[in-house]
Amino acid sequence: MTLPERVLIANRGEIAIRVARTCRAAGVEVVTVCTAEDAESPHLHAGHWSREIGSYTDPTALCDAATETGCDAIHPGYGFLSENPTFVRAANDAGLTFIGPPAEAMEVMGSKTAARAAMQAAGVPVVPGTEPGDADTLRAAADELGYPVFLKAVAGGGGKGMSIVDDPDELERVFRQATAEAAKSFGNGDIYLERVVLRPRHIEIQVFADTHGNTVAFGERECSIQRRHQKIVEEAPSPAVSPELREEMSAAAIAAAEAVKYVGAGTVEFLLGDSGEFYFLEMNTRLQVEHPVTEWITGLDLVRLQLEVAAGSTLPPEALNPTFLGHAIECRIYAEDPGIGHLPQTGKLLLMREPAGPGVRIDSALREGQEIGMQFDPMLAKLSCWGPDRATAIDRTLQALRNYVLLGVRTNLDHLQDVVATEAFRAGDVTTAFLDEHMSEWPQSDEIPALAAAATALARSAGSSGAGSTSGTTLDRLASDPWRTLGGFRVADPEANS
Amino acid sequence: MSERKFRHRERELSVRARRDGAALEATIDGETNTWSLIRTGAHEFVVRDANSAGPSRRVFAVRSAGVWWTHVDGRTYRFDAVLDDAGGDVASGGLTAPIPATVVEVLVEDGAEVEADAVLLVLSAMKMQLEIRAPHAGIVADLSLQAEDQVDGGQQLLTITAPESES
Repeated sequence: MTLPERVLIANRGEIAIRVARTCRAAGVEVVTVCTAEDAESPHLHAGHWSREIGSYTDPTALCDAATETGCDAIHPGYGFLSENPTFVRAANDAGLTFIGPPAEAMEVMGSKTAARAAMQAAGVPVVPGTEPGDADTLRAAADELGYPVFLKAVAGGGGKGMSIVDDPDELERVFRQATAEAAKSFGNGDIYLERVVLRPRHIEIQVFADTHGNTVAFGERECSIQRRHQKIVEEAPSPAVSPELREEMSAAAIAAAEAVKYVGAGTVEFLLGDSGEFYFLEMNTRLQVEHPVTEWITGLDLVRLQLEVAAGSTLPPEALNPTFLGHAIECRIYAEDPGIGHLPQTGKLLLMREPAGPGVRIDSALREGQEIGMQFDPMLAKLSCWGPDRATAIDRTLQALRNYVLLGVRTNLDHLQDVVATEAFRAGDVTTAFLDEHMSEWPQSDEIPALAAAATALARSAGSSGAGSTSGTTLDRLASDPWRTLGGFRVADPEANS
Repeated sequence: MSERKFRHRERELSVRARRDGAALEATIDGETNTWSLIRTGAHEFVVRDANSAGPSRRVFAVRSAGVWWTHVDGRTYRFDAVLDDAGGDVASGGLTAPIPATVVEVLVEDGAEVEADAVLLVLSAMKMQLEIRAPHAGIVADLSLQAEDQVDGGQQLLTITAPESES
């Protein structure tokens, strides 16, 4: 099996650590990067070497760092530059393998209108809607489609740049506002219109393609529970997807991937209406945050498959004919206060205990003493739990959430427990309106157990545990970095695994 | 016996507690309970109700800079110290920034009389806007912020002196 020899991970936090784990297990060497302000993040120590860079979003700096450290490949993680075709081309021009899809596939899927057109051509169902147009054209189309409708910015995404219109007389005003906002936020004021699917579920299909013409689907993930259009609980399989529907959606997702000559790991997102109709939403041309639930139920390591496909291998038999076992649930743990509109929180992590046990997986990049700031995404960790059936997965998730101790910064751990413990969640009755319908008044009780308050008398100051800032700065580490001190020195294939 | 006043979200409570070796006695808002405990780490304990055969419970507790954190029965509690009237702060209506933010708009002037629930300031953080409202009617004091100022999480924004009838 050919794999890259040395990979630069162009990312930070939990995903950098997660990618490094697979690389190291496969005998692939790892270079991590960090910015000066992020030099205390634990991901920096996840690789064999580390480099300081000016920014996580500077393609040239990342490619230079990869070349200078003797890497032959770059893994982009998710977010940052992971869906940036310019980065793909810069990597390829520098002679580096980009562990992800070709730039052309990214470009099509990165444009809502181009993606929509490509999907329509490929026979993938899309939400009824229009091309970008002026207020009068969109008004006429909306009158025909029926209200409510969405006005969406061509360049928007991830819940940004979309407005809902319930009333025909409101359309023109909302259109003007949306155009101005889109022009300001995205540099492109073009607006199109889409029918609103009422009470939808957000279901996505994990696809994988190699360079030998194989494109496969690894089943769906149910990602309906969202706040501000960001997912907080995901699961696989979806309680709403029958084997027949899974087959239909998988076929549509494979058609979507094939239409753009996709390679590597990708996710095709669909809206699923309550009568079983589904529509293409978008394709994420990278590894998803919630990929662990798919790994749980398939037994596959998606990052390992990314490495193999990037090196030109055919997908292995277990990926070409995936089998599914049991049920998995992921909870995203954020530094935020669900009691005040999920506002991000900052602070110093004073005490941390992570849960463990059968079917419990943690993807995090945390240590005691760490400052949780505002400069990066407030996601602290992902907890994913597997069980042979959904009920067991729920029980294990609740137990693990209760045993997750993060003190020093407010988190959504209690809120997640309450979400997973609802009757509606147990029944699998989730839609994108779940939090509004079931959790709008949170916390539901202001009761404080006597012991919780009494325990304040037991609290010692955080410093007394010895937890605190790590010694040694990035510069110390970089000073002992062989790529700095030994000039052109390179290690000759220390652990040949080919 | 130590006595402290805390704020837990919207609620204020007073905790008088005494730890004597393996025994913990605490009076919370006038109600007294006792527990027996062992310390299993710098910040962790195993606790049992002193007078019952109830199960043992794991308790975590740590504090830093005016904030006490506890973790009991799987839930997390944050207690913010409330200072006495002399110390200002919440007891006399001090309003603090919930998170680091930028001041978008200041809608009142220092010395202004405001109604309960009036919007005083608008903050912006992480592309979201947050209104700071008056918790009760009173006079605005200690306000020196302007639009575009940066504030830290926990930083006092202004105080509202209680109306005379209530002070």
